[in-house]
Amino acid sequence: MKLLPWVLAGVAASPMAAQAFETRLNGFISVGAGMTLQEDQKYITDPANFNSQFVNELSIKPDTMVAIQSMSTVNDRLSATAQLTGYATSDFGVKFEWAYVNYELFNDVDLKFGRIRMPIYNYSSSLDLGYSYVWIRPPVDLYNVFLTSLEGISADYEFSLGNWYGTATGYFGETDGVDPETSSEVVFDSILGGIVQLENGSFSLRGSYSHDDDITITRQDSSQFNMPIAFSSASALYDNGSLLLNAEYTLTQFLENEDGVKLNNNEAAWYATAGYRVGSFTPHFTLSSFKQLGTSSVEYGPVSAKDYLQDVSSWTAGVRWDFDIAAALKVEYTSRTDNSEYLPSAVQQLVNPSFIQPFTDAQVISVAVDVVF
Amino acid sequence: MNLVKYMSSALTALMLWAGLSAMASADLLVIVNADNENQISVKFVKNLYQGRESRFEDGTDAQPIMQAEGSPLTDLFLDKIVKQKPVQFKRLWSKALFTGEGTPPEQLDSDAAVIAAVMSNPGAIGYIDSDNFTNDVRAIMRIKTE
Repeated sequence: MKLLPWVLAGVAASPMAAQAFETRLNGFISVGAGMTLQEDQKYITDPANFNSQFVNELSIKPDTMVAIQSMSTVNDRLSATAQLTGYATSDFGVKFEWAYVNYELFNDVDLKFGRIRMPIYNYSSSLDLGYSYVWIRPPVDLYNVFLTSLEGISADYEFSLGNWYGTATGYFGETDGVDPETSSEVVFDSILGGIVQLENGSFSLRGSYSHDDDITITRQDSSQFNMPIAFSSASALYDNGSLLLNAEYTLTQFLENEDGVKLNNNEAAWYATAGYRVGSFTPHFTLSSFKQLGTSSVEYGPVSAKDYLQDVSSWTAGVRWDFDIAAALKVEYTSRTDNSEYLPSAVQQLVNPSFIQPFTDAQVISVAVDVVF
Repeated sequence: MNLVKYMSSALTALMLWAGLSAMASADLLVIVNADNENQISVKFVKNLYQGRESRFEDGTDAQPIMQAEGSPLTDLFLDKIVKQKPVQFKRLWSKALFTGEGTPPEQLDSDAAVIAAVMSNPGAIGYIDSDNFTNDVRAIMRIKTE
């Protein structure tokens, strides 16, 4: 048994020695299982893929994924990184969530070119990295955006202010995808955003704002809409090794377009988490909420979109067990309550035949193992 | 007779245990290259291993070196200097690695390997058991084991 790693090391070392640069291979894997507790309850775990949903039958697919990352140092300043991800619900069809070159422009300034994660919220860049957070998945009431990466450029500037260490990030890029809820094609031509992160010992803060002044939505019937959109997020984390407190508030604004119409209702979401580490166990509790705000100016005949607002809240209780330094086992129970008012179905058919699946109440039980390697 | 035999083997075991724990209580030393004359504070070392600092005062690129994950020496270093639990530290660097924020410190498997790396690299910094210290490197901090 001892021989194998050495043989592998030998095999791995020889081709690398022939190259001018160093390559490191890492990855992570999450294997999850879960189900809703009552018939007809559905619980979507991945906003980018509505097939990733728990139903009233045990399934191992929705929370199961793997990622392999290769990172090569080309020279002192330049490195190239590719992260391949595969999701069980997509039969592990390989996607690139990250594919970029990193160039160290100055000591404190890094530039990335290529495909990066769209960093609109606190956990957007580490959404799949289950090992790095306490839950099985970041609260889905808030992490509900189906576009997760973009092609573009980002610049990170590191600074310190007394005992505070900070990173300021600016990014710009384009991305597109199909909204799994409406089957509309959505194109972000030029999303521009800024992030500020500050940390001081156990305490860290993050704020971000992202804006695209003209996204294009093409419905299945080929009708096209344009509008500006903005994502804001503010979050705080306290983690002293024992006590864990984490909260985030986000606002998605569907702004007035050229025709003076606000096509969607704005959306506000938040979560608050508390956990306490006892040995290798971290029991935790989370409240989360998603609400549409009545800002849309769209009228569907006799009804206005702003009178039918989605309003969902959830609580989650769970335990993370760090049974190995590189592996955690998690068990979670989530209860979601749907207080939404929905458009009368006849009107909804008019608006868009494939439109909006109600959230519904749901109770979900899930377990997962997260490993980094 | 049997009792004496039993007692003496128990005594031997006890002495062996005492000897081992005496050996295990050698101190931890933080070491840098012999030519590195920077003033280095505990806070700097902590921030360096957490990825918040990358350079010594004189501008040299600092290259932190870790030893084996989960070893008593590493756990002591993380506890006393980096002020993090091993799992917290692993989580910090996993997140950095997979979100493009940085690469974890290099990991070497023995005191000898750390000393060799620190000798050959002016910016390297590592930690070793004081029993294996040699004058080829400069010790900047000592942590007593309990």
